[in-house]
Amino acid sequence: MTEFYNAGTDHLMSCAMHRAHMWRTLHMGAVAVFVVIAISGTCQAQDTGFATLSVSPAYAYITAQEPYGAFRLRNEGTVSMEVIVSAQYGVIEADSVGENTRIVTGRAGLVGDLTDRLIFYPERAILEPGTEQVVRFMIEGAAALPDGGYITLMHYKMQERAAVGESAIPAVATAISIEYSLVAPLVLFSGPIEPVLSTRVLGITDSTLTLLLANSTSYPFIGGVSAVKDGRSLGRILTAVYSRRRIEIPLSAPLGESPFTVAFDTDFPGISPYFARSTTPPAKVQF
Amino acid sequence: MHRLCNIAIAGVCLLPFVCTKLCRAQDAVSSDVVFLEVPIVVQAPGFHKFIKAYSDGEEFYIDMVDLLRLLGFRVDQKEGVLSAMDMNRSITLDYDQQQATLGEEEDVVPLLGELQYSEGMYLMTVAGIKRVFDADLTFDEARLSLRLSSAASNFQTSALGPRRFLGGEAPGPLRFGFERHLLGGSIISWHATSQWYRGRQVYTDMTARYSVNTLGGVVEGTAVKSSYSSTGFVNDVNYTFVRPGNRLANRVALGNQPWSDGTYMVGMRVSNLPLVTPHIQRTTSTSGRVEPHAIVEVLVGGQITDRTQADADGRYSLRIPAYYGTTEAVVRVQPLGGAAPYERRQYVLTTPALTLHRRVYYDAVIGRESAVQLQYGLTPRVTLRTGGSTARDFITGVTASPAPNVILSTDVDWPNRFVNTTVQMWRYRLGALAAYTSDHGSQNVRMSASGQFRQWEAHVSAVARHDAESWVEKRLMPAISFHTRNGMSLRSRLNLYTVNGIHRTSWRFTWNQVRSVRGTGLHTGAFMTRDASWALGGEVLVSFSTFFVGLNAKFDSGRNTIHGQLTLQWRSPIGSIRSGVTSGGMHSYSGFGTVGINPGIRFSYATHDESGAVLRIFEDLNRNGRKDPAEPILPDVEVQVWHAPVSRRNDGTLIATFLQPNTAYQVQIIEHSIRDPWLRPAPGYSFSFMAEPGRVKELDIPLQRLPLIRGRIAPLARPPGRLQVVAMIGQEVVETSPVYRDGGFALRLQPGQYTLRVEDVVDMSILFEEPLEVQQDSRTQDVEVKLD
Repeated sequence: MTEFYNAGTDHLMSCAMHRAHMWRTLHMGAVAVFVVIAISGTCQAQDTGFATLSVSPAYAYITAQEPYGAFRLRNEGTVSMEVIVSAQYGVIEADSVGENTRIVTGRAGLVGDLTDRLIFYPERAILEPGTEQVVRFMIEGAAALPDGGYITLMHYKMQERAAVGESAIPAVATAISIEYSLVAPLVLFSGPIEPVLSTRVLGITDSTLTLLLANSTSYPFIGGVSAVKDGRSLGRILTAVYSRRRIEIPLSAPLGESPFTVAFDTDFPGISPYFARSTTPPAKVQF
Repeated sequence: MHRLCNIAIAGVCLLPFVCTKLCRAQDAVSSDVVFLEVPIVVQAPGFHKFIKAYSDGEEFYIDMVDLLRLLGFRVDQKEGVLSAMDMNRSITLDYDQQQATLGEEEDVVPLLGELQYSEGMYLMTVAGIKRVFDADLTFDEARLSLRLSSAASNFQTSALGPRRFLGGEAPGPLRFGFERHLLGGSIISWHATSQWYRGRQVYTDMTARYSVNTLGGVVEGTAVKSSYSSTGFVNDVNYTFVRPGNRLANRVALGNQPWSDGTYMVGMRVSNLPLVTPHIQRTTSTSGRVEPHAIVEVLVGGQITDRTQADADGRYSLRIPAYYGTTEAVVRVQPLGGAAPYERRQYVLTTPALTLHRRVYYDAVIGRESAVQLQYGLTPRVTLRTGGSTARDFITGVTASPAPNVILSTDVDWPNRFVNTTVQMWRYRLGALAAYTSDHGSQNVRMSASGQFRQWEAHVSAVARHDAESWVEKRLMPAISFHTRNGMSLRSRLNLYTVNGIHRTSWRFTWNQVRSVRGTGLHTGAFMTRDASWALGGEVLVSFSTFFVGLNAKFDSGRNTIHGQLTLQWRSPIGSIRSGVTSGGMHSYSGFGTVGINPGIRFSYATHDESGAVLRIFEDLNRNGRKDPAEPILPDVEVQVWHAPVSRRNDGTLIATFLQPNTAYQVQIIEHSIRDPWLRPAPGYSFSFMAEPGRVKELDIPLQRLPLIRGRIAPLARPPGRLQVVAMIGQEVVETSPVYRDGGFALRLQPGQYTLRVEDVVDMSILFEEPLEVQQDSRTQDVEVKLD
């Protein structure tokens, strides 16, 4: 079970405190005394309980032939949680100079949008500590999709379930609540998978090779990227490139001055061997 | 004065939000203190409930009647004294003396200023509660929650009703109960054997065991025709009328009754003994100490059966369903803070000789010969039993389990001078047994011990027999075995014995290898023995999906002969055929199988198939709960039936076989195997059914596509944790939903007319009530709830 979004190198967790609500609360002068109580309560709460949600699998790759599956949510923490599930078109990508890897919604390069065809249930759930919830999904009309890759991002927004006491004043309760959002990509492949990547070297140190990979097809690349020198692999990393991605390959030895090669493979844990067989990995690149 | 000012300010500040509570509670305790009613949530893993509490701005006062009842105590209130008792404890709160008296030792805990009594309410401060319950309760002021330790010693954690066993084999709701039929079906298991020696038939037998579900009960019997029988044909018939769940008499039977000593008696039998050996006899508990506040869960048979959270000292207590025999329980610990989880294994030994506490079981036969047996659970760990018959002995005995891994048992028949005593112990992977028998002056002593360590197992047993004058037999039998993970095993056994003064030694060494190659099973083995003479042997067994070939051979140096045997077996759709031939000229042929009649005719290649169930999981298109011809079977939905093999038939239905009649079987529908997210099983994901004797029961399990009602409450004037949305038909609650922080809620409802109600679960006030029509063809329907 993997916690948070984890496709290769990225670990993304957005933690957004609702500052607007906080301000509104702080400006409710009549209840200022209770704000102080509530904030100190938050600190105290950290000693007695914590909220953690895990999503398994952390990514789902499905085919048009079997366009269904399930995510399993588990409350690993010690307090009750509310989870609201939604889906949005988007990807995880870096900007054009390889900086700021982030979730981008509303576009995903050439990868198609799966959101309108996605149905899932439930859309919201309350998870007691240690309990699980299965979120089943299915893609409607998947067989009719043209060849290519399609994506939607499953967002799992979790908030600690308010007990009566803490939220005796709803505005205060909202102010101190913290919303976590986990994102799990759901990708559907239709037809043969032939991603094409362009590779740019962003930096080389004795211990790291930094690359910017750009996908110029509608097929996401999912697999391993290796730095090879004199026929020997000096490092490999797993990644998923939907549009553009910055990766850092840890090196076991310096690359030195002589040429090296960046090679791609389709061996990725937790996905069906069908993908390995159906995917033509991008051609290796020499630098 | 300063404090009063603070309280007054606090009260004014809270007034807009909790004014209804304020008005009701302001004079709850005394006239000079303003109290606000502040419900407190009582929490334990898997448990969440509100109780009444009040605050004066500094202290929180808990309504002790509410709390003690929640903790499973029976509460009596009388003239300023609150008395609470459960099975093991008593608590007396004296509001005049300002003290608590705990338990039989009458420990007195002074609670000066912690107890407040007013207008029928018995209140106690949180600090006072801490003094009475110690670490079993933790008050979290930030959340206004009272957290209960699952390892509590000051109250019965099992009183927290909803914290039942999670998943596992805790029986779910019985959706398909026992049904009576005039002619419900029949199952016949058959077996036929013929043996030939050098062209001459030497033995035949034909046996049919039948079970006919009829006349509201079951007719069972065995028909035997054997060449050994002097009468040629034997037929034992027995009619049994069962009443599952009835504690006074759950079985009345007429016919030839099998008795506990292996004999038969003709007559009428009445009994309240469990109809079948239950899989779970009782629950037991395991406790220990881990990291503080770690989540601890216990798995039995791969299923999580209980889960809890350790207290601040790391103490925990979990319940385990105790199976007859040995139960292996895996305790999994998840420390807080992201440390890696780890596991511990524990073993529990349970004997069927123990009867449930305060339960009396009887079994009586009245006929030409009469007999009776009685069992009584004196305590949860001590069972008394007695019984006898008009023609045989009268035996009295007791079985005790002083610890979960120790069993003591004694039977006495006096004046026949018969005594039998056994002691069994089990700890982790070590087990030991000691038995002593005295019968008319002859004495037997038997001891054995066994242990496992990784891939090694060791066993040693000793037997001694003493007649009226001397020891006539002594044996010591150590054995050791080793197995690998790829199917290879080695065993060696030594036997040192003295019989009538003659010392002898024998030993045996065995090697076995089991492999599976592309669906074909290959079993090879060899052995070497030494007793009076040397012997060597080997065997090869090859099994295909429906065909089996076995060949074994043995060389005996004493007789200087080789003995071999070839065995063939074919498993056909309607039964099995087996044939064997030995080098000595013996041929044997046998056939066996089972036929089930009504509903339909069903054949099985195995015997003793006494009861079964067909699970038809289908998409209930018209949502009427019945399987209509046009409604498709869903062949991909997976289920688990505890303690029963399940296989899928060609038509997509599932069949559970080898069921014990009159037993409730637990079904778990594997949720993620349902492909369409909108479908959900009408009986729930977990339920049970009762297996019926002599019948393959048909269970229609509809999966329905119910419209999703998405709702939102605005404005959210009360905390969402207090609100609940209820859909009702008339006064019957059909579905409920909690309310989320964003005011959202969700319901799955059949199309039709409902009353939608929003209520406050704390004060039970109804905040909204309006009719709701769920449309026939809608997949989702949005609802706006406006609270005034």
